Amino acid sequence: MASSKFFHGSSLLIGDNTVPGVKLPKELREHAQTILKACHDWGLDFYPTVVQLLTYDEISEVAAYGGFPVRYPHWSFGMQYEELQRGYEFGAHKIYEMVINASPCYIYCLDSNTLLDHLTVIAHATGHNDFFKNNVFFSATDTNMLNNMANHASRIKKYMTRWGKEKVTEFLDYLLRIDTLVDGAAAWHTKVVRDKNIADKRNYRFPRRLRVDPDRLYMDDYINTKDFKDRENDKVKERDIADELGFLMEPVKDVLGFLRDNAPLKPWQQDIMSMIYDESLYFYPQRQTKVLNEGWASLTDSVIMAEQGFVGLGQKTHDSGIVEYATHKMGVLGGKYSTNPYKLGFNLLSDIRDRWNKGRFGPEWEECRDSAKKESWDTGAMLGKDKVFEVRKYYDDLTLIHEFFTEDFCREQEYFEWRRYADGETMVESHDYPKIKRLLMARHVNGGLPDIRLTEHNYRGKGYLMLEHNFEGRPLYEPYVRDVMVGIRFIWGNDVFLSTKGHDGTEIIFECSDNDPQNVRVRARK
Amino acid sequence: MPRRIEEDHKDFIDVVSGRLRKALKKFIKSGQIVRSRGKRGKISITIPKIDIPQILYGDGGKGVGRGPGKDGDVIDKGKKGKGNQAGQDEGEGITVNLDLDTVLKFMQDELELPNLKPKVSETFDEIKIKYNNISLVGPESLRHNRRTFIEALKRQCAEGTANEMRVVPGQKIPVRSITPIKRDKRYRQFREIRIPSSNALVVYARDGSGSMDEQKCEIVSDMAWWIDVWIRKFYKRVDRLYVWHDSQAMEVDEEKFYNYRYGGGTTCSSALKFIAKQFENRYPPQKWNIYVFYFTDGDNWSDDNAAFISTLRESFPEKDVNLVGITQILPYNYSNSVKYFVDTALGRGELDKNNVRTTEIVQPGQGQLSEEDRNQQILESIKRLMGKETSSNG
Repeated sequence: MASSKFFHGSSLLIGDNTVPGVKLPKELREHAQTILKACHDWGLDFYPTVVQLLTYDEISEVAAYGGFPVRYPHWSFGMQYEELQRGYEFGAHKIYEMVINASPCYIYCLDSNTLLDHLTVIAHATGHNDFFKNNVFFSATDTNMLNNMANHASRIKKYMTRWGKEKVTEFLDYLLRIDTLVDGAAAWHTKVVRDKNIADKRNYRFPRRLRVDPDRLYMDDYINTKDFKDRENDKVKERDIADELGFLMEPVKDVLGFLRDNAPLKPWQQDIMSMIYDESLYFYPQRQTKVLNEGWASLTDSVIMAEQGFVGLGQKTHDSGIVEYATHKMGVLGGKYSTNPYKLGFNLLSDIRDRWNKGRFGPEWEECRDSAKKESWDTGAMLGKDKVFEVRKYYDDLTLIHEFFTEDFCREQEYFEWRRYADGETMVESHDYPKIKRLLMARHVNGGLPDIRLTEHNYRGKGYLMLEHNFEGRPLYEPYVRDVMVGIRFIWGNDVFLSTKGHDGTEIIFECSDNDPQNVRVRARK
Repeated sequence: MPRRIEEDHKDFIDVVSGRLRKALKKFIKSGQIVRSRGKRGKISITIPKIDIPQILYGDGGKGVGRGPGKDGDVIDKGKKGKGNQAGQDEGEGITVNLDLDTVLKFMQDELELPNLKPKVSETFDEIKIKYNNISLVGPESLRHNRRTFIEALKRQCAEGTANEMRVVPGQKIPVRSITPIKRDKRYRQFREIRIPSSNALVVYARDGSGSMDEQKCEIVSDMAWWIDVWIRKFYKRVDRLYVWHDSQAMEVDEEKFYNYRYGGGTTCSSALKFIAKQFENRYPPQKWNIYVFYFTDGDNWSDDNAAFISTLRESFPEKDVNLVGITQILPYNYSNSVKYFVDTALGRGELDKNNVRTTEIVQPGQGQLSEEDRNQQILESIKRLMGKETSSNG
């Protein structure tokens, strides 16, 4: 609709007929433009934006669908909706906003918010918007997901009318249990479209050769030596044999993708599976960058609203909104000692900005042991802004914590490690920096989920599936493992094994050969 | 525009009720239900948390926190720590409040309890008048115009005058007309609807000798509560009469009935005689559906057993009393117990099997009666007392 007259590059769209919503008040329309312009001027580079006001009912609906107006029918969305509604009724929580990673980017605001809340939310959401567009981990996601999801919905509905709702829902139930078992890196793989007309389905492998300059072909024998050629030929032979025997050369992280391609599925099941796979890949980077993404958005709104003084927009005086803004911020990030991951992201980014502004980086800073000198260290480098923009572009949660969760930061923010004892008491275990950091990082490896890999798809030569949990010290939640294994068994059509480790570090193997989760056997391997 | 979420939400509710049905079944089967008396007609049942299971980390019992604490400070004493993932606690679930009616319906299916039938009675609770009849005579104000005109049309068709054109006042040209005459007229007429009385009297009587200890009283209380709920389901008005006896019977209030103990003698027939006396003036059997539940531990004055049977036979015939249920709780031995004599009389046909039923809650061979066993036996007893005839002589 109306595009902005204020600046080029990004535009603000107000309202969209395809999604439910309330009309935007006129004053908010103008102020929203101002906020977007401020974001643009600060250096953000974002997708065109659609701001949409929704009532609580509507925003719960949209939130239940993960931000998308149209999703396939499934009861789990109804469950989410119920939870959100309950939470709202009991006053336990409240959704202020929702943003989705698409172009144009949709920002959903709760219509009962105050003007200041709206503007804060728009600034915050624009931070997300910018992050979606610029962060490398999002670079392979599809910005047209809104339409894709709608297409998925209509296809799945079609299957439901064709094959029966119960049957499709049952398949979806099983599928949704394993939709986290994907490899985020698969998004960058080129998609191979298989040509069905070719009768010969074998994949030919060719031995690797090093490149030789065409003008100096006489060098070939020296570059690709006989040893090298033999080695490469052997590799190809090995892989061919492995293929024939049904071995995997290396563990497959992309379990869902493997099942999609190899499980004995009916065409409609395969189609549904590929849809769920695409959606799962789409959501993967959001799990991977939760801390940084929220931190970045929080930083954005604090810069725009507080530092640049837009809290006064539409208020009586230029700073009369600051208390309300601070209260709102407190509600989102939690108090001083909040362990909220959003708070961690915000604090880390603020710390980075502060350090690079004062030049507290580089070998000189690292090597300095004089605490008094460190205290007053300020080279006036003023590189903070550049650094945070760099961080928002190239980092995810894991690398962010790895690089910037420093000992000083840990001490300043008063982090500690706790441990719960058998009698139910939780005690402060230590203030040991390496331990705390290790715990924090473990929480963000693989998007915070266990790393499950497929090691054999012809286990014991009987076509069983062998999965392995890459154990890093935290055991799995057993009741769910049983249910998930039943799900995989349903899809794979044959027995499934999972090897993991228990609390005491002994290896255990789950063995599923039945449709009943209670019948999953657990064995200890010596 | 119907909202998209509504359908999904409905599906979710279906999933919940499916799980609920399972949980309720288990709840009733295991006898847990005996102990849970609802509050304000609601019974709360916990069903397991519904979630899409995914591979998650369990609770490692370790984590990172923030704050001014020193090493070794206790930060949480509760059982639940700061869980880091969903669904950590086994006990976590959704608590659903159910109407007692719903639970009873399930109980009916599960225990195969038949509906109670009020006995045929001459008294009527209420006589209602409803205008749902047609009469040939009546006041004009109750005239049924449509029926009247239909009758007139029928008559005119039969006479062959329906197509005749007539000059009607107010019309310039002749038109076809239907003109009711006196015998076409139909009037609304009322009908009496007699609603038979649905009063029930539930008599709880128990042996009050010293041997009825606390455990037995509790069993009486649990059984009586569920019997009460069940009977109330079928009658509009339920009166309760609590009778307590040692060698003499007397009426007591509810609280006393469940708690009062006194180590006197035991003459079981005294209670029956006392109840029978109440039928004379207070609760005439023609007007009341009468249910009598007698709880004993089987001890009786040995001379009294014959009197007990004869009173039962003479004062509690089928035409007067809907049901006499005799429950024997944890007897010392079966022979020479009250139930033994009643069962023998039933077997000989001295008592009517249709309205006298017996049941027993027994101690397992040795040791204490376990909670689960107790609850199951109580359910089984209720089933024997209120259930179908075939299971009456358990």
